[in-house]
Amino acid sequence: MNKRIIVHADLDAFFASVEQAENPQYRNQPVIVGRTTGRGVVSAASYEAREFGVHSAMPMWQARQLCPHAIFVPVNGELYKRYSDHTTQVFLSYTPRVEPVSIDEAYLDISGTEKLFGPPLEVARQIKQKIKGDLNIIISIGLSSNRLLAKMASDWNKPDGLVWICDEQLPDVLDELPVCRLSGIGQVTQQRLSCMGISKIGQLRGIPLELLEKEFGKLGLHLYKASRGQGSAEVREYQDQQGRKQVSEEITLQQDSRDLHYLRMRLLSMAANLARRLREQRSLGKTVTLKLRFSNFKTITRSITLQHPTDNWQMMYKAAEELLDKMDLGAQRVRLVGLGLSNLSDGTGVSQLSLFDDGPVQAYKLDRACDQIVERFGNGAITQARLL
Amino acid sequence: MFSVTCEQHTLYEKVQLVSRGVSGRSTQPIQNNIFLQAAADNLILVATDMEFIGVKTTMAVEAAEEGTITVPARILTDLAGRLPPGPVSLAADESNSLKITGKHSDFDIRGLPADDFQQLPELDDPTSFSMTQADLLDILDRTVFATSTDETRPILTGTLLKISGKKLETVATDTYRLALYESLLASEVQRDQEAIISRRPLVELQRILDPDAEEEAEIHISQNQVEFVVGGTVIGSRLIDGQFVNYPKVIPTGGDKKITVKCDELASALDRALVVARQDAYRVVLRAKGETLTVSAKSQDVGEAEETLEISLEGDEAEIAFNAEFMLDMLGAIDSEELLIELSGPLNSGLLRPADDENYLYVLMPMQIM
Repeated sequence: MNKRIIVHADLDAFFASVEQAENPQYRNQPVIVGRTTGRGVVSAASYEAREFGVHSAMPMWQARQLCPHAIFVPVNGELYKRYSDHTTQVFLSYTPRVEPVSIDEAYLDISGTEKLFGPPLEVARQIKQKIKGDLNIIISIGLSSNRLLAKMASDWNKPDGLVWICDEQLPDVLDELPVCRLSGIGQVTQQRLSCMGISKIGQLRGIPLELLEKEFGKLGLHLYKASRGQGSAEVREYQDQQGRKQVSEEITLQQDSRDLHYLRMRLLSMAANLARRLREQRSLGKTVTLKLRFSNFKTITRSITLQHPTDNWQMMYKAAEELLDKMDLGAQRVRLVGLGLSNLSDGTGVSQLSLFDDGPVQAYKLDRACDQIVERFGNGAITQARLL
Repeated sequence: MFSVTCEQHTLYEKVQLVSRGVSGRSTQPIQNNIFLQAAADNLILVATDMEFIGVKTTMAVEAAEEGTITVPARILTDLAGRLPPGPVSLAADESNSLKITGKHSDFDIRGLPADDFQQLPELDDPTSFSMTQADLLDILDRTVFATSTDETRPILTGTLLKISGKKLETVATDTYRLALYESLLASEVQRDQEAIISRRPLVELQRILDPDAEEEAEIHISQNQVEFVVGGTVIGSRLIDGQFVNYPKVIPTGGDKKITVKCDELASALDRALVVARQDAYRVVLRAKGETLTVSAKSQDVGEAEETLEISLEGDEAEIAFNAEFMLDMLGAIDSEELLIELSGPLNSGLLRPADDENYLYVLMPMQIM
């Protein structure tokens, strides 16, 4: 395989930075994000707050003692998700190989993008600028030939860092770093290493593999490789991590038609089937795609993305009908109609019901009741009156 | 014109306090300034964005000359915090610059004439009442967190204060959950009043209220404005215009499954389950059966979590999915030993309240169990 260029992108003091971006009056002030009432711990502290010794996971009362004048802000998960999603979109504009590992961290594989976007450091700079420009938050980027080194590189010069660890610098560049900088080394391992007189990565590299394996079992091999800067360079494609891609159905009409009512009824029937399939596989779809093929075999598709993912036929049908109405069929006759649902999820982030709108609950109950009838009495036992 | 001497640490504290009135988004540059007025032995400091919040505070100083000036809030805060402890003198001249003199420091900060500075208007014929700072803080701590951050429905970004006779109802909802706290005032108000108050002034108020203080907090509400007076500080805001949602209709009454659980135990269980639930929209599934409640969470990426707690259950077994963060928000706001959860069905709202306090209730809409 060609030499890979792996990027680790790490949003600096993410929650606190988002709060500072959203609330200009918080800028340059110590900002501490966390549950502000009762038993809470610090979820994130801005760099201004870190100067006072505040760090994440610290109990809130302690943070208050260290930095009483800080701005304390409750966690706003939805907001951070929005920012995080936007950064993912920025990454995806450079490479499809984007693997988010948490809300504020992702690995990218930018190998082979040079011809499109320029040398790796230039790509990294562009990403930093784009994120700063779009969202007004800063990001540290590390580049190297694998994930382990890329992460160490992004850690090197925070905040707003940009570091490339080249193969030529290996392994000496790691020598003076503390072992805890290697991923996979927690407090316990660190303590055991320290008992062996090992605190720096250079020292760790001096230990033979057999000894490490004897002392640490399976972890031994990881330590051996990590101390030499060796690690996995695999970054999965973003799409592959998003689960099953879509459900769809299409039918070739018995006779080419431009009867809108007839087309609508075909869509309605397909929407009902697709919705049931989604419910069976317990997933929800967010993007509705309508496909039409005309008598001359010209094919067009149009999509619409719903505000919330759904497994409800009415929502799908409404979107499909809207798409159909927007198309100008003119004198053309339709030969084939297709309907698809993509952007599928397992229900994440959608299913919070509302106190003041019981529509979704009613639809949910109705759909499940119909499913039970179909299960018991077979297909066609119950259907939309319009389809009779 | 305008000359005072004060202590660095008091100046810094007060400047920080009022600078919260600056939104940084004001279209008029002068509203990003702090207004300073030297009068008798006081220095009055004011900052306001003219909409959501105005903060005014007073500190005792040695005033050599009375007068006014405005200077950029950020610069003044930055500087006041960096000066060494000790006396600081502030003096303005006709050219609208503020001379700040510390032990070894001399600064000239460009300001703007105070005449152009706008303040929130005086309240017109307000309804007024007062309560201990501890009570007011308690009311806010139990409700304000439930407000919405969705700016497209401004009404829900506010907290409703509804006063009739001696009764004060405080309500906040983001349509997913609703917090309602009923309290009694010491005496009847002159006139019943309703006010929807933005989150910002209330959050600032939470910051300055001192539960141990003897001095009461005053609340003044007019047709379109509110003012809270705490010690030497006034926090004001324009009210959010419009009709609050019809909240009484969403308070459930028919919960026939009643769970009693220790708050501490539930909070720690939820906190741990969140490690997994965070990846699935914070969803946790609660199952109550016999004398146990299980709290479970599942995520395709992370794995699974299950916590078991001892409870007492009246009625049939129950299953429901809630947003764990929403539950923790409520648990963090109360200091009772036990929590009562009343449920009717997996798609109906649940009612949560402290077992020892009937005046506080929290209505939580479930998440679908997929």
